[in-house]
Amino acid sequence: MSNPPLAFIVEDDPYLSEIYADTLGSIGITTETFQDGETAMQKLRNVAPDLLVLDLNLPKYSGIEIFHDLRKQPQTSETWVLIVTANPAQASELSEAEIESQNLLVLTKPISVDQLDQLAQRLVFDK
Amino acid sequence: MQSTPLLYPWFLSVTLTFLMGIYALRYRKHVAARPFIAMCFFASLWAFSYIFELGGTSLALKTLGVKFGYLGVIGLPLSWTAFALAYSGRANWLTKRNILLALIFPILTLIVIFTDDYHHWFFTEVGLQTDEVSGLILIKNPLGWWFWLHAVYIYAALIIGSYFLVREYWEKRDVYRSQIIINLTAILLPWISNGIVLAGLLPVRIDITSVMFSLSVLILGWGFLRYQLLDILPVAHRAVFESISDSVIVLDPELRIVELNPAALEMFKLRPNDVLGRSFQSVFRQWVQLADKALQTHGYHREIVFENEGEPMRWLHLFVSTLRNNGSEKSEGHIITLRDVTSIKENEAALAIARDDAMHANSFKSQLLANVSHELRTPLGIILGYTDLIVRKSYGELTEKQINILGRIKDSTQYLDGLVSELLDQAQLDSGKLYLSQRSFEPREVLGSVCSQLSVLAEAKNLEFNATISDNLPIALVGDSQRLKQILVNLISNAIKFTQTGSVTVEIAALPSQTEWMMRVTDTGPGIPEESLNTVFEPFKQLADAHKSLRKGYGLGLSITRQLIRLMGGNITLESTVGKGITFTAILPLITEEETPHE
Repeated sequence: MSNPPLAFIVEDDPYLSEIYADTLGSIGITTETFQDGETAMQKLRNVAPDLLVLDLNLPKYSGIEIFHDLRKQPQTSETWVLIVTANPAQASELSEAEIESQNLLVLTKPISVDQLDQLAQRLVFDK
Repeated sequence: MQSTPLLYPWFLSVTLTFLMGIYALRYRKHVAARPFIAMCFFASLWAFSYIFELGGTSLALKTLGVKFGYLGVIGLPLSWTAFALAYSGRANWLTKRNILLALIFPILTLIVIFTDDYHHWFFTEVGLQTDEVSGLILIKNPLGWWFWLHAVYIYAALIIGSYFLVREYWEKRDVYRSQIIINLTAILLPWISNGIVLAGLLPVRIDITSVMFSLSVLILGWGFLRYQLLDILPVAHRAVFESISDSVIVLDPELRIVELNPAALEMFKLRPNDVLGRSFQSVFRQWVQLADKALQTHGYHREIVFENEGEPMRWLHLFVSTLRNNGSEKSEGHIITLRDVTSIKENEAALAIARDDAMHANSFKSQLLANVSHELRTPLGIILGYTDLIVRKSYGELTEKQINILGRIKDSTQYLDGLVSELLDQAQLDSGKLYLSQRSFEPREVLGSVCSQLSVLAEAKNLEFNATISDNLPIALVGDSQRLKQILVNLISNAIKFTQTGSVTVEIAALPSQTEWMMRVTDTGPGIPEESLNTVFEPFKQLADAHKSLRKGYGLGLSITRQLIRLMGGNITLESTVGKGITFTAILPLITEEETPHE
């Protein structure tokens, strides 16, 4: 593997952002963090990460909008997405088909470091 | 017998009054009807006797006719007086004693009449004469002094009866008024004619009084039957009709106003003389817009808003009923009842506001709970995340003591996290926003993993942990696997939490019916006293005598568990013996195929 895997973290809370980044960093994943929906969406149109950790309640664009936009782009249509939300009810805005799609997991906050660690291992390195 | 067309009215009178009496017998239960029936038969007897008096040619037959005729002559006015008393609400005067007293003089009169040949007190003489005009043989019986006593007595009785009927007339404004006028007219008729006869004003010297009396009885009878008056006695009528607070308007079949009660007059500010006889529509159209059809429809009802100048608006409930004559199809008239339901309406409105307020308050509570829970989750995530990272020594080396303390922080944070989840669940249940998914899942895999995860907790407490998932359970079930996991986790972790020694046993199996399946969790903990069995599913109920150290429940877990199970269409029961343990059994509908959505 020439380049280390890349994960984008879209989370408006800087501490949670840091926790996710440190956790993923500890298992060798390069991370880039975004605090709002707009910058994340712009970046995602140019760069396809290996994993996207996505909060739903975000400034400017919601996580759902980012997810929809992401799936429309060919390079990110199959990117693994971990939605981490404090309100799982918001995830109900996703269609049945989207929830059922293989490359998406919806998790309820708080997630433990171990949980994120194990999932990332599986999704990024074991794929 | 001498035959003459003059007799025809008497034949007619005998027949009609007799038939009327027979017909009126069906109303004999009424106090006012009995005197009326007597009147019919007395009138019939009188007319019948007069046929012999007039038609007979021998003195003996004519005299017999006269004498029996007097049974009617006396009986008819007396029964009329009795009728007038009963009809005007004084039936209580008609006691046996009073009737006997009133009959003393008439009985003496009858004795005098039947023994007149000996003393001629009633008729000074009895003989035959030929009428110059008609050529008929008539009886000649000039009247004696007792006759005049008798006449005074009878007229006095009639005057008393008339007095009470007149009083009734003045006190009433309703349909009975016309009835009383009928009564008075009917009774004046024979006595005016009687006066004419006594004064010798008729060209033919025959006594038409009995025919006139028969006519009067028939008029009275017609009045009853037309208005069904014997069905409601005036007294009862007055009590109900006059005092009822509902407005009542009685219409005839042509929808003309026959009667209004005082409440109706008061409500619409009407005077009886202005509206009686007028059509309902012409009087009430300004307040109530109703089709004639509605007025004629039995059971028709609706609410109307009524406003009279200078008065607050009122709600009225209008109800139409049709008057029918003894089950006949033909309508005899209509009753319009108007009930003031303003206060009921106002109460309803107040209740609706209170209910809305309560619903808003409840929805606000649920919303608040949901928001607070969400807001708590982020900081909880931060605490848990940093704690984990520190324990992992991501930020440097730690002492054993520090690792222990971080473990306690993590335990407490997880406890808080569980509590937040439960509060959120409860808020969603309260607001009806907890939706269950209906997806296919494999119970052995999903529930088996719960058992194996929790077995670790049991082993940590040195408890025996047995979990069996029966082969009779289908490979795939349909339901909300996340919520089923939550239920099972709750039941097992409760069992482990409260059991200090012994075992925790989990059985998952389909019921023999194959329409339901169950999750049963049995522990050997302290159990629950019988009186507390019902309260364990209530929110925030913990056993009072549970040791403080054991009280680590969230207080919502079992309540949510039961609500979830019920939402799934199942139920949960528990059995317990104090000191032996508890068995929770959750029964759930067994669904194996996803329902195709209905259009």
